[in-house]
Amino acid sequence: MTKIVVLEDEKKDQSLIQKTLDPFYFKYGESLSIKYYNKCTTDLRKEIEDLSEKKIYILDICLNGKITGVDVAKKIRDIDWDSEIIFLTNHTSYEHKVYSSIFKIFRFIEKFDNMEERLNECITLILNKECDKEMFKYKNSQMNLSIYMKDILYILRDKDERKLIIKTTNNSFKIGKTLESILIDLDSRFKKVHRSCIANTDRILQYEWSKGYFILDNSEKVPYLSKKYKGEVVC
Amino acid sequence: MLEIIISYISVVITGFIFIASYKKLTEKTLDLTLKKAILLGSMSILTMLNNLYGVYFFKIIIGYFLIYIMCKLWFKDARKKTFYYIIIIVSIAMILEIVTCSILSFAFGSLKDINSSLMAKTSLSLICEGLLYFVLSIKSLKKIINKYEIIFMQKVNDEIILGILLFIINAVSIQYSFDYTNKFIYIATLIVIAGSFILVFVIIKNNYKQANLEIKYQYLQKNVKNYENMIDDYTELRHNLNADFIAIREIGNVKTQKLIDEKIKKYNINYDWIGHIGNVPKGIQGIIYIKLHEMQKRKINVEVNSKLKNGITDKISIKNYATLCDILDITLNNAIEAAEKSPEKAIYIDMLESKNTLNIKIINTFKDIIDIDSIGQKNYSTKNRNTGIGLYYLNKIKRKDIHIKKEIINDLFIISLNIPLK
Repeated sequence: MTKIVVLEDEKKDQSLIQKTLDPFYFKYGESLSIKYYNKCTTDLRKEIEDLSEKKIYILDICLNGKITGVDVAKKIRDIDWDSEIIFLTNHTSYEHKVYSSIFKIFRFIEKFDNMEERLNECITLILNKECDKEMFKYKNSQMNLSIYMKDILYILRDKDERKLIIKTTNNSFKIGKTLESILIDLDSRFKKVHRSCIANTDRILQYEWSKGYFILDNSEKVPYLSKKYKGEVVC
Repeated sequence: MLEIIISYISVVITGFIFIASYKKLTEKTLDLTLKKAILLGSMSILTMLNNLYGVYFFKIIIGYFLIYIMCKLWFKDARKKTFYYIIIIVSIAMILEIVTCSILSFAFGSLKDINSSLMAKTSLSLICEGLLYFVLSIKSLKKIINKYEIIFMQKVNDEIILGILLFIINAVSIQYSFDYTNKFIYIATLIVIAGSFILVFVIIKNNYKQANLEIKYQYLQKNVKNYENMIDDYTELRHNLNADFIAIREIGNVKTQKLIDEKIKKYNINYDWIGHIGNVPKGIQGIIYIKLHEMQKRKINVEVNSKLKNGITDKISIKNYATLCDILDITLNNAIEAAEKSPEKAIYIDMLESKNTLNIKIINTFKDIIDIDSIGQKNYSTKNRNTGIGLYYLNKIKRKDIHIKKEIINDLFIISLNIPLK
């Protein structure tokens, strides 16, 4: 079940959005619901707090009143990192980059630049996308760490420091755990491929068992593959 | 009888020299009227009576107080202004008297003879007063005295006035409580008066600097306000321009629409980053502005979202305020360093007041190797390891009532600060 939540105060733009979304409603039937708001109401707040459904928020940045679409997005991200957010705006602005990076905004759509077509494209992409928001969490007295499992490439044991190195798409994190204990916290896509390495099998493109390495979807070659664990990976 | 007449004439001349000195410093006119002549005459009688029958220890102080009253009634200046100039005139007169007496005692060995002769004593007194008028005629000295008058009038509070008074009383009491013929006592008195002078001038100079700073700050504030207004106008203009473009686009053909789209992009070069600063409360605006400027220089995308009201920094205790500035400085430096290395190069600063607490959230992107268990520990110098997250420094300045939460959500480093408000 997916819900599309639209926040748009301009009647003209709201009818354009409705025109764009109606075909999706007919296509997906009861598995898709659409709700329209023209301002930030208590109902919308309740909607944000309800995390039982997958949601797509379409938010107009400039709203009449003190609360802007950005404020609503901030409220959403305070509790919900799973839903997708699409911003509608009247002008191109550089802070889009900040919001995209910080609030994980799916897309900014300028109203003057083929709004209907671009909105259609975005909704199609989101609805066809598999929702994978599983997170690995680690906590100590100093820091809380949360990483999307889909972003983890592999986990290595650092012999010298006796720590694990979690390699993600952009970063590396060292944590004080054992390979065995971390495996319990991860889901089934993670397999032990070497005595010092756990890999995200969803991200592996090629296994070279005889040469002892595997190649990831970012073209990285990781020389930690042991035939001993072939059985675990293949099954 | 002759002695009394000589003494009276001497007191009248002395009083008149003080009036003339005051006039010299303040550039007022004398306006010698009958009323003022009566004032001088009657004040001189009071001074004489004080000299003849006054309590020994308070004679000088009462004498100077009478001069103050006379100048106040003569020129009708503000209380503080009259006080300032009388303090200056009296202090210089005191120094001149001590210096003159010291020179004479070095030259003649003893001043006992001068002290025992009324004529000699009166002459010496008049020489000192004449010297006073001459010294106060020095233009550079007058300029300095006038310069500090403004600061004294604006900034010097009553405690300082009282302090000056106490120093002078002290100096006078030292001078007259001991044997005035002893040159060491003179030197000691001179040092005390000079010390008092230096102290008072240091205080006044500091106040002067502070006053200057405040003036500059006011100008800066005005400039910031003007700049904010200009940005608002610019934003409005850009918004209207966009709206006009869109309206024209609606009626244009495909080619026109394409051209208008290009123009919209062209005219949307953004200087909004400076506009964000307007919503940040005064007190932390400066530090945020410096960091925003640094972010712009390093091509880091930044967004500041502040829902705070001005004056919120007044609700933070002084200790917490100092700590908050330290935390902001360190956290933003680290955020800049970390974000610069990341592909997204983004920093988001969020500020709001909730439940009597100031909440500040700084979120930045990063690309690095981070040791989660060692971060913030003494031996883990993030700077040396180029992680750009100096949490050790943050932990060091952490106060009990300021809550700092650190978390990493995927590629985002988030620092949340909760500062209690008064």
